[in-house]
Amino acid sequence: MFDDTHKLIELCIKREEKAWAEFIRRFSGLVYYSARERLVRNGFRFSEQDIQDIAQNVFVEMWEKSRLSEVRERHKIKAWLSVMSQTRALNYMRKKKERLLGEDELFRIENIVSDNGESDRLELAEELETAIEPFEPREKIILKLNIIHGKTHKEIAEFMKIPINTVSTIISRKKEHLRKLLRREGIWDV
Amino acid sequence: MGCLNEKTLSSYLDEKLSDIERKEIERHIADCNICLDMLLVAYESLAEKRICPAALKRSIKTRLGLKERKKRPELKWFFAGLVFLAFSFMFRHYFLQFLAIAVILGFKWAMEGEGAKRVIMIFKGIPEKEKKFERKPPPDVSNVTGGDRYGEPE
Repeated sequence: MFDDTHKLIELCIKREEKAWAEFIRRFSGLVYYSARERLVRNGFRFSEQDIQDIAQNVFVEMWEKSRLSEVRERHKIKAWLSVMSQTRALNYMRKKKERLLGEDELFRIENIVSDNGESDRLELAEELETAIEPFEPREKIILKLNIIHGKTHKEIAEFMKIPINTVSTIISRKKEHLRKLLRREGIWDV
Repeated sequence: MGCLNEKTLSSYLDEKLSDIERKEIERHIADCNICLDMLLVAYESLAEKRICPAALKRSIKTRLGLKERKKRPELKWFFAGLVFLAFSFMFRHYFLQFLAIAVILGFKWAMEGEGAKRVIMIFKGIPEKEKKFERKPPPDVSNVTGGDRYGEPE
């Protein structure tokens, strides 16, 4: 009935209940995953109830503020939904943190923000950031995705919608340059 | 440096952009790790089907005021019983056999209905009636957010 995402969104904008039921069925997993992943990556400690509240709020906002009518290309909305869920998750945790601070419950903050144990990775990221400063934006993104985020050449090519050969060439050329630089600083021992 | 808004940022993955538009976004995400990571999570969220707990789906529908369609699986027993009852009159030779099947299916339908379930629960509950004055443990409030669980300040 709702094979086409564009049609589904159109019907949701018209507030058809069946379309909304299908919209929730199809996209709630993406919203749930994105909100959870954002909080994990930002080192927040959260409960299952927090994630459920965030996901609910995302759908309520779309329904009440007719957010779907603002989407330009209605056949592809997944990235927009994901980014929206992530920003709502961060806003939710910031508000929660402020509320707890307001209640003079500072001791609880340690339960909310935790060290996600990535200090080594952060150190490498900082050094890499300085080393790649003079590179082109596209080269910087490719190197960050490959070295810091561990993405494969194929994934980077998909992400940036460029040929895989271009990715491989940039990585091999720039990595050699970086290796020399970082080895000289004693940071990258590869 | 101000971050890109949600629509512009997500258009990098969702939309067909011109070279100039793509480069504009790339210029930002090359230096802004927050936006790059946001896009990366968005990209990973597309990679496979993500599952949402069924209870959450139901609660979203309830919050939006959508009617939950009630499934009535027990009706299949009712109609199957009806068919066999009709068969028993159509094929006189096997009247009793078909009638027996119809009765069994009818019984199955009656026992799977909501009313029957309630009756069974009441019967199961009768011997435990004596327990109703037992002290209940206090409810678990460890997951409750908000300040009111501590009560009003004196």
